Amino acid sequence: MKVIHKLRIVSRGKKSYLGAVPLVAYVGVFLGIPAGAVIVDAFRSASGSFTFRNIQGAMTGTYLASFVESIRLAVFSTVISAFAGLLVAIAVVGMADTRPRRAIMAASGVFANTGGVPLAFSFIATLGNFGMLTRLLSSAGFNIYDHGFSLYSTTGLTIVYQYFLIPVMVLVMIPPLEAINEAWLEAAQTLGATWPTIWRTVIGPVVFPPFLAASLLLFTDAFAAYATAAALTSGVIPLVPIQIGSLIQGNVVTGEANLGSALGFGMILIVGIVAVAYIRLSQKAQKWLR
Amino acid sequence: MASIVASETELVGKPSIKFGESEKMFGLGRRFRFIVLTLTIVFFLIPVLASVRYSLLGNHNSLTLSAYGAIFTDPEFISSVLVSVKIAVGTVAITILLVTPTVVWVRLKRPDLVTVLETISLLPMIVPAVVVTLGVLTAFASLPNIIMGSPVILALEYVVLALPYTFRSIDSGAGSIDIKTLVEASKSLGSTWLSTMVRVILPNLRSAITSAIFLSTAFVFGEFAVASLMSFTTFPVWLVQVGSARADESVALSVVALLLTWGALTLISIIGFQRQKRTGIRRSSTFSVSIITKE
Amino acid sequence: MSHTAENPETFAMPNDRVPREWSRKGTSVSLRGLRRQFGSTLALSDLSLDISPGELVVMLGPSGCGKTTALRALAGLEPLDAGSIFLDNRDISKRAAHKREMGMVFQAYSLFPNMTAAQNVAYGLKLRGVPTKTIETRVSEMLDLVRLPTHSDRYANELSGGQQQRVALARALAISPKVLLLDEPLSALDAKVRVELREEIRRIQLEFGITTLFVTHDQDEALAIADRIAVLNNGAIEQIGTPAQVYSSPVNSFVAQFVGSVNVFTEIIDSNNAVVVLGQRLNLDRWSVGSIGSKVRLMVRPESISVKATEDGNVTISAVGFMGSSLNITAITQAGDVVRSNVSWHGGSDLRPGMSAKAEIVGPILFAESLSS
Repeated sequence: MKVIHKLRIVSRGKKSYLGAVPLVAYVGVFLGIPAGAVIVDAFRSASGSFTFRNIQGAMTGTYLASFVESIRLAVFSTVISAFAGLLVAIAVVGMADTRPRRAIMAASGVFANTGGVPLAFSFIATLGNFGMLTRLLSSAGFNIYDHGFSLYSTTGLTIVYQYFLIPVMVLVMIPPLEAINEAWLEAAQTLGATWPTIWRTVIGPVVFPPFLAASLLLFTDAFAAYATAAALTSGVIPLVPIQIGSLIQGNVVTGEANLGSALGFGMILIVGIVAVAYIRLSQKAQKWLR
Repeated sequence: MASIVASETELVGKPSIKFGESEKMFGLGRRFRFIVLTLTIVFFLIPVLASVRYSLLGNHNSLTLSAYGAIFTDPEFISSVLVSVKIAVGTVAITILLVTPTVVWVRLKRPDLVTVLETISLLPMIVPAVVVTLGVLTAFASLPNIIMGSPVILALEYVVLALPYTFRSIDSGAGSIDIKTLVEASKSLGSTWLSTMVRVILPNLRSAITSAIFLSTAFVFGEFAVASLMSFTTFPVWLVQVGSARADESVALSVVALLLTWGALTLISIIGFQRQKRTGIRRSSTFSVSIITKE
Repeated sequence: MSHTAENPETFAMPNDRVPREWSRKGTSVSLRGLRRQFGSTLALSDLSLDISPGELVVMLGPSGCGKTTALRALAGLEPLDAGSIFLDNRDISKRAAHKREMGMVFQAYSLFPNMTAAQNVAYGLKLRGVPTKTIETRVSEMLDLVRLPTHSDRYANELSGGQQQRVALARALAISPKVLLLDEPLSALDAKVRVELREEIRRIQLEFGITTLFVTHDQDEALAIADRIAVLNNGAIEQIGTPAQVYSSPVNSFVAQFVGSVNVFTEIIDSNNAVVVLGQRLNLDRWSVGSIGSKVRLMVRPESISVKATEDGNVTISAVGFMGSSLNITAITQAGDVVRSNVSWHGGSDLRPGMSAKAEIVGPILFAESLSS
């Protein structure tokens, strides 16, 4: 009886896509159409004809510089947070007691979400012109703003971004580090390997693919971030998301109607390439892990 | 925009129970752990402390709650929070009605499509929020004012933008129970489809749906890019407006906003842990679902 | 196994004798007074053990008895609070794990996931700077030895559990270790693979003549492959001897009950230093278990009890389990005690649940102890 029942359920749903239609359609309308519009507009002149002028405009002058600056910010933020996050993850995974690990994972989940406006203001209160740390260091005889530091710069943003990027890295790296079996390390020892050798031959190769994948994730995160940068720098630093924002709000007068779309297309392209690399690497990372 | 959804690697327990688990995993000593964790805690606590201090002292170095008092009596505060609440209700309602049946259906009828849907749910991460806004403004310009001229469009878009987290949350909840067996058992006892759904499936997905509700609410109350670029004064947008005029009030508000977000997210992790306890399944995704950066 | 043929003198006597001359090519291992404490738990309590060159000793015990700790201490993976370890009379207690020259096979999943089977086997050789050509030859020899010649390019997750353990064995042996250590290497495998592989481990161990310490909680495994079995409990050795000695002459009730299964009877000693079990009078002269009127606990193996169907027997049969070569019979006495019997089966049997039968002790008393103290 039961078997027949089961078979019927399976066979009836065999070729059906019906249940997936609403969600897929929704994503198509509210993500696909806007993204498609941006991509199409990127190649369209004000009169509606096909053109490369928008793309050319996006690749010259300030706009090219903002791509460079955005990538620079994303690369710096990624490299620092990736290594910092990896170190934290290693420190946490090594604990014999699992309670601190869970606490730190929960905290990371929380801090990874602390992007945006409130974060920007917290850092103004910390490292801004009159921030607590700024004044503390100043009263100790070291005014960081006299030494070239500014919170409202790429360096400042790099520090602020650590606040949500490091926790993301911790969260992503804990599972692969956890999957490193103690028996691999012990087997290597009994076979004659010292710790540096074990790092080079076993831990390194196993951790590297997920590490790289996670780094790509952090890159897209830092590259696409808008709120923190907007709240903190009010458009002082030329970053691509900020430029697009200015174009949307009509703060900038240009001859190019669809320049913003060209910039947006550039962002989709960069994030897309990184996303494909991420998927490739995650698959490789999963190959070894059971 | 958004950040990540971690891989669904299950946290596999060690094969054997060992006494005195080695404290020197990876050949690194306790000093390494102590230094790394101390520096981390310091880095993450200082901005919190500084914010609290700043909100209480302001620039004038006298302890006062006036900043907190000022914000809560500001009529703009009330109205911006109300706008965000309305958007949150809409976002949550659409999300739950859209995602829950889809997830149940796919797990039941087409388990082979789970990966495809997961991938689709991650697509919003490829398109930065700023670009989505640009697209919405050009593609939907001709839509009636009741949609484009009101926060309705924000709710509609937030459903998509929060999808990587909400979908993952409900999907991993559904993955941790055996929907197929539950449905077969229920049907063999003579239940109809509707009563199976309402009485058997939903109660088992309750904690997953609750996390999804928290996640979308947290998302709505943090999202700045789309709202500000479309000129809607939601709570985060108002926060920035205040910030440019009255610094100590905005920091005070940020403290409140941070504490509220952390409270909500901590609640999600607790729900997650309880779910783990109940089902006996430890999944890293319980943590990963709670990763959003509100950019 | 005939119990009546046992020499009464060997009962209840620890027997440390090595049963045969061992080949001289292996290394001798001496554990002296090993002590290891975790918090309030004493994992090793002055454990001492000598392993002759080429001998296979199995450490058998329940989980938490300290057997794995002892093995890991020998490998250098676990520090000791006290005690010394000697290889061929040289003290290696202070030597780091990577300098101990021991081949170790772990419970499961110990293959490096980023390397193929061949690369795993080659790992230890590469670290020793062995020339590439020699490594290649050695690796294929080793994979032939564990009967996986065609699997050299597979990654761990492309191998079955049994195949992974074979590769792990090849990897451990490739470096020509002085001692082979096996930490419950079969516990994660299916019953059938487990039996196959344990026979293979034994074959290879004898072929190499390598001194081997094998840790398990599975008594069948221990009895099947050991030269000698060391039964551990609470961090100390309860008894060490050949499988036959440990099985038929346990030195205490723990060993009696842990190795093999037993029937336990609690009776009172009567005037003639005897007890009555199943209506039979059993003399206790060879056991010093207390005076007349005191309580005594007796242990008898199931195969030492015969059960025959009869009209007015002393038990009622409650279950008959068919084991192929034998029958496992469970019966209940009039007093309500459970009696388990194992009788060999030669085709046909008239025993059915519910029948009345006569249970009779036909073998020796395995162990007897006084309960009065």
